[in-house]
Amino acid sequence: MAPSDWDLVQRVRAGNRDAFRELVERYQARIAALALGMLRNREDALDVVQETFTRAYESLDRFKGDATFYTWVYRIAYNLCLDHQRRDAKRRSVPLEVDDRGEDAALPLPDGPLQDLPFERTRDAEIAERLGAAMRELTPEHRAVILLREVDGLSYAEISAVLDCPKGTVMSRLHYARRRLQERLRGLL
Amino acid sequence: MTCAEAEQLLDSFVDAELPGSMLLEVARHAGSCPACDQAVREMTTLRESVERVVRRQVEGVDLSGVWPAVERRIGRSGTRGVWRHVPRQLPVWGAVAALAAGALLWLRTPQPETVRVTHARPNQAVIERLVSSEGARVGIMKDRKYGTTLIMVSAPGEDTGQ
Ligand SMILES: [Zn+2]
Repeated sequence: MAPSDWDLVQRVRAGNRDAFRELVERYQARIAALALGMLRNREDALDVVQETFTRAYESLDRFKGDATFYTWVYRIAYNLCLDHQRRDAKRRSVPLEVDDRGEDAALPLPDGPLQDLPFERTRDAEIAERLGAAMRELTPEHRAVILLREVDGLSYAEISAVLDCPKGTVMSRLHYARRRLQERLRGLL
Repeated sequence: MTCAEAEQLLDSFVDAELPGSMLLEVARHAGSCPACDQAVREMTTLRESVERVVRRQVEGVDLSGVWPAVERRIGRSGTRGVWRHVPRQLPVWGAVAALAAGALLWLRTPQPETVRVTHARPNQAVIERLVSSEGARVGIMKDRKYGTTLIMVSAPGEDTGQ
């Protein structure tokens, strides 16, 4: 049977670096999904994934086991994504021309799916494109709730722990974000 | 239950974040109300689409370099330092995982003989409607290991497959 996260954390604390590798490999895809969904740029997302686990390793003594390891790591990743977006916004805050498409309109990815992804069906590609555009219009907070819920399947309580906000806020953000996505995908789904 | 009440509970319903009795109430209502049934389906489709699109994007990302990069970074910083002794708390992984219900699957199964749970993935809530009719028998089953919630609705006298 695979060791639990807690067992692995204890092994890392005892100096076993391979145990940390196991934790990284266990959760890297999930963290990548969050980072990619948040930042919509592959390189930035990979950087956030690496930095997330580096920080997790360095601050593992602050992990008390009262949360699940992955919600704790998600929280690190989410905050890194926000930092990244703030930095990015700052870097782009002296624009040559005004862009009125919203806070992260200048992110390097186009609306659609990542360019070299193989999509078998054009309808899927269109859904991906429209969804990508709709996700980009959401605030980072709304986007995070959607990703944590729909992709990672976290409960409201877990999302509330990751985002450090009340459960009621999670529910209202989720409601709002879903309605916005539904509006944008109307007629396609 | 009215449509307005069901609409208000729609998010919590598809997320299986309602007490069992409320889940059943909404399921019963949606089972006999085409408008709410449609709303549940649309929501489910949206959720599946989001999941599918994001997962595909991640599949296109090469994660093989993550650990080597992390290892380099932690090797450089070497700041994990001395662990303070942290009193061990009871692991809650299983319980929390079981509560982490994911996307809901609402399946229209015209033949009520069997309950097809093969669609269920870990940490997903599955609502399976066998037959929608007034006075239907409703059963709820929670798989503790995988966190799957299965709600079965069947017409009186029909086998729920349990
Ligand atoms: Zn209704």
